[in-house]
Amino acid sequence: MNDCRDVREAIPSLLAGNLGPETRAQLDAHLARCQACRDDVETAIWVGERTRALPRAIAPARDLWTGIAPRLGRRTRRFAAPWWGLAAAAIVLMALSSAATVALVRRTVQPDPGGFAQLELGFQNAARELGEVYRESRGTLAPGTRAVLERNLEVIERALAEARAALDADPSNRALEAVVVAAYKRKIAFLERASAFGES
Amino acid sequence: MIGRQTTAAIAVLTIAGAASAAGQDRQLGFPADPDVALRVYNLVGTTRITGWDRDSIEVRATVPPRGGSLFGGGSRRAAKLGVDGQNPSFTGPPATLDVRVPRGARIWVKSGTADVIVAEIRGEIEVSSVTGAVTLTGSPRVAAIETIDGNVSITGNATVVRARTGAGAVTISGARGDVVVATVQGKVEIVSNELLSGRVETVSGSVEVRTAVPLDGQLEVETHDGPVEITLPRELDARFDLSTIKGAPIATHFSGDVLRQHPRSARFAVGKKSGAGRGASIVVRTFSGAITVRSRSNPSGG
Amino acid sequence: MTAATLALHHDTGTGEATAPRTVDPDVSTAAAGDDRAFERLYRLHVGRIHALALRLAADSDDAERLTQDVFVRAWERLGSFRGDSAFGTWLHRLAVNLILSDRRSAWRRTRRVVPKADLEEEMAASLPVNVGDRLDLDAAIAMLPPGARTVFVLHDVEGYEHAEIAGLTGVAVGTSKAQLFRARRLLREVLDR
Repeated sequence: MNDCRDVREAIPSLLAGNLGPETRAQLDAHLARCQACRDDVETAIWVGERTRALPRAIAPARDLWTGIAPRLGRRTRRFAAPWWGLAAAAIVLMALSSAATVALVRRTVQPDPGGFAQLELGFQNAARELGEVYRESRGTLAPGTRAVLERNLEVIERALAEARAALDADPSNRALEAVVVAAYKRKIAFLERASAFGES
Repeated sequence: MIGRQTTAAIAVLTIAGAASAAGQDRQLGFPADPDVALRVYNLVGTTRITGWDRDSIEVRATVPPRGGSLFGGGSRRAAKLGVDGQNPSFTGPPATLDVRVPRGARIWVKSGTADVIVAEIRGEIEVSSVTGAVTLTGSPRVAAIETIDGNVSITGNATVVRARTGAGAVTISGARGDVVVATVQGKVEIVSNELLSGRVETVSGSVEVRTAVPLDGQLEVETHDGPVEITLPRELDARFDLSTIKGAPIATHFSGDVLRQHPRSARFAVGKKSGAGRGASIVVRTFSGAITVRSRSNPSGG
Repeated sequence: MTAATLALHHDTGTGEATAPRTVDPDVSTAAAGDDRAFERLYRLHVGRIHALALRLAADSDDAERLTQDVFVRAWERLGSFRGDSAFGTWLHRLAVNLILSDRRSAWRRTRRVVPKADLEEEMAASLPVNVGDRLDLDAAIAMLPPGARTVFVLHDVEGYEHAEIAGLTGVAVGTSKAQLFRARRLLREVLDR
């Protein structure tokens, strides 16, 4: 038991009382000189005692069978449109709070781990549709709110354009793909927030 | 004068009716459970929420003439109060709400331009604002603050911190648990004696983090072109993964094994325990932002 | 009704062959298309699956939706259940996979303190009545960041090993271990103040 990693590995056995006397003595010697590991052991014991008291089963507040039974026996169908198009629609539907429809879309669309091009198309569809949702609601926003939202959106879009241009110049660069993906996610997340302002 | 009203299990409690030309200066108190769920609405003006050691909620409010009307209702377990009917274009004096709540309360606050000031809460606090600034002191279990352009300042040991702004600056001081911050262009500053888990995302905001990170802790920063400056203790066990695509070469001021693949990518470890698989994880990624990592004996000393 | 017996010797993971497993007759009947038998299986296992969903999702609405999705998926996949593990174990593994897959497609990182539904409904839909530490720990688990929460629930509550968690979540074993230690520290920080 030479270092902190060994101690960490030994904690489950320690808690279960399975350590042999020699190993236990080595562990105790390490704990005597290492505050960090002492904290870890104490925390594991403290949390473990409370975790063991947790109920293994928690009944739902209502009978969920009524929502399950109608769905049994239905065969899963694939829509004609590719999964990313519907994934984008699902995001828009979430913005419109149609929970039942979102559940339907999620259930019937099987994600296909395709390439970056498909992923980007999905993001673009989602951003376009969320942009439409926002445009429909922006008339209800106070002018000051609208201005601050759109000013921030401009910054996000500028960053996305920059990243996209860099990827265009170096199309096989995986790091740049990750930057573009992050930029799209940021844009979509912000459009969701902006759309929500129109509803509240 | 404070009028106390006892409530049944679920009773609607109305504080005031329609706005009057003379305005309203009102005070009210009603019983509340120690962990009461409370919603507070005040779009324009100032909202102040302070925890105290009583099982009750008390509100002192000043609502100017034609500046909206005060409302409230609920039970010991769940209540809401605030100013209704505010016109965002109203140019008169703003409404002020001064609310006292049990320290363990779980509070949700809605604001537009109203500044929100929260103190001495141990429960949970969530604030949604457009341009109103949010200032939180104390140690709630959860602090979740969202503004578009309002500045956010959180001082104290909130265990779980979530802060999201557009152009608003975010300043977090003293948090030790789990911190997640996202801005568009707002500056981010995080200072702590020790932070277990931190994640910062921004497009163009500058990021400054001065903290220790314990064994098994993590710090992740991602920006588009915002510069990143991280100051850590000299005595540290950590694994670093730093990379920028188009930014200036990375500047690090640590000794240790440096696996430098490229001036814009640096992966290395410092401290003995990081080699034993226990070091903190420090990850910084930017598109074109500058990355600087330095050490000093007391990073949070300023 | 006699129990259907599968004449299989199966591996419990210890390399030892065991006696043939007896499959619950409701499983066989449900696999043949009997939804009343499946409802009995649902009533027997829903508490366990709902507890898992609640702790992983940290949201009662999501937990209900996920619980329903799990049983619908189980119905669809029942034909592939071979009896080489207990039905509950098979169901639990299916639930973990489905819930983690759903979590990966969730965009939001921020947990709402008080969701937008009517407050009284929220109270009714929330975790069970407060009894000492039990609610506190479940509420604290819900506050953990998603990665740490997943590892803590799977490891400390459900008994998965780090290698299994790594396979389920796609994180490295070392990351899973670090997440666990962070989760325990955060929980103690929240509960022991």
